[in-house]
Amino acid sequence: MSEKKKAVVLIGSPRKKGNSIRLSGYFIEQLRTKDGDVEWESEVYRLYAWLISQDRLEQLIQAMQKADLIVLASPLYYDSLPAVATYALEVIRDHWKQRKVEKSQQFMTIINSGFPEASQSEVAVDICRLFAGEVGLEWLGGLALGAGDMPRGSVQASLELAAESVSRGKPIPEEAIDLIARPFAPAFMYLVMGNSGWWFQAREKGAHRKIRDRPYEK
Amino acid sequence: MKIVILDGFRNDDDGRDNLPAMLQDDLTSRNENRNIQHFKLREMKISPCLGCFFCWIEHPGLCRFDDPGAEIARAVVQSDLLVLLSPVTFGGYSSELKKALDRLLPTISPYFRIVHGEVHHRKRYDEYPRFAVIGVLNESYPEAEELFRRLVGRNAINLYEKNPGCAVVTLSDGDEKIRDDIRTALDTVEVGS
Repeated sequence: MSEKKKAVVLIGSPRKKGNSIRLSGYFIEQLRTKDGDVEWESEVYRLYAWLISQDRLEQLIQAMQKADLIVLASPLYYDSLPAVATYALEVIRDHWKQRKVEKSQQFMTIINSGFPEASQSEVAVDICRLFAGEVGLEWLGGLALGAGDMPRGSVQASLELAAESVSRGKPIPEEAIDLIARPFAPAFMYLVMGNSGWWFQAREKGAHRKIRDRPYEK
Repeated sequence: MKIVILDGFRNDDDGRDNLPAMLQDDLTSRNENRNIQHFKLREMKISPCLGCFFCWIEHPGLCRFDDPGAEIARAVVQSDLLVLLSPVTFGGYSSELKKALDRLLPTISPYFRIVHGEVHHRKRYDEYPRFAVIGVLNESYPEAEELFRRLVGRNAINLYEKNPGCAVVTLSDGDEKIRDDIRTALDTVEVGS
């Protein structure tokens, strides 16, 4: 008979269909296909929607209390987690100060940034690691990637490898961390593509001639 | 000289009253004729950044939210010195501080540049303020302090600061040590009067 386990996914992005949801969704999908002795159920909580009221917050905390695995999937904002994701971690820590630990719980993170270098997200991953230590969660590791909106095989392969290991209760392997960190493109190529991308996006909005505006000039 | 302090203490954080006072004391002791704007973020209703890029590709330089977050962005750009003050939170900044920091995105360009082989964003303006950070711990926590300093180093690149001031003070060390640490951090970024 299969063991039932629960994964709670916290989405740190304000977007309803962004990279954080897509990447964590693929990871959970892979988790479900591994280890036939474990049946995974999952719940996804978009923090921007779940921290808006005390009632919802309490529900979120309750769900996390019952989770075997907690996954935080988040973009990188100014080299660390966005304010809302940071607030979620603070609230969890405050609620769990006096909690009775009912079972062993594991925590991992997937951090995506708009730069090609995954190394720029290392601080954010380590913030998550320190959080895990402070609230008594077993740290499984963090997957950091750059340019997450650029689909590539190494990202999927990494998430599959990570899911394989996590499904057996083991940490994310170094191989998965290295795979997902592979830059999408060399820095200069990314710069050229990215800059033209911004210009075209601004042109679609009729703002390409104002892209360098300085409304706060002294 | 215009100075902006972004105060990221939460309502129940230790040090929330005396640390800002010590910081302001130090700044005014260098020159009492200074324009210091102390934004007590826990008392300000600031919408979190939506990552919508309105400020880059729809109305460049301005956030879609016309709230205190926008007021702070303007103040930062027009200042000579930006000081972040925050309890060290899992080795990073508090959510109060982050809600203001994240909203500085309109003040930079979407266009990329390469800095020491890494991709970062170009400046929107010619000049940016000097940058210093004071982190606050209740007790010694070396791992969190080390991570906090790494964060400040990363932020400095994205805030166009080559040599940021940084102090991580420990409340249990006592006021005299704390004042010394703040002074040393601000010595790094002092920009005349």
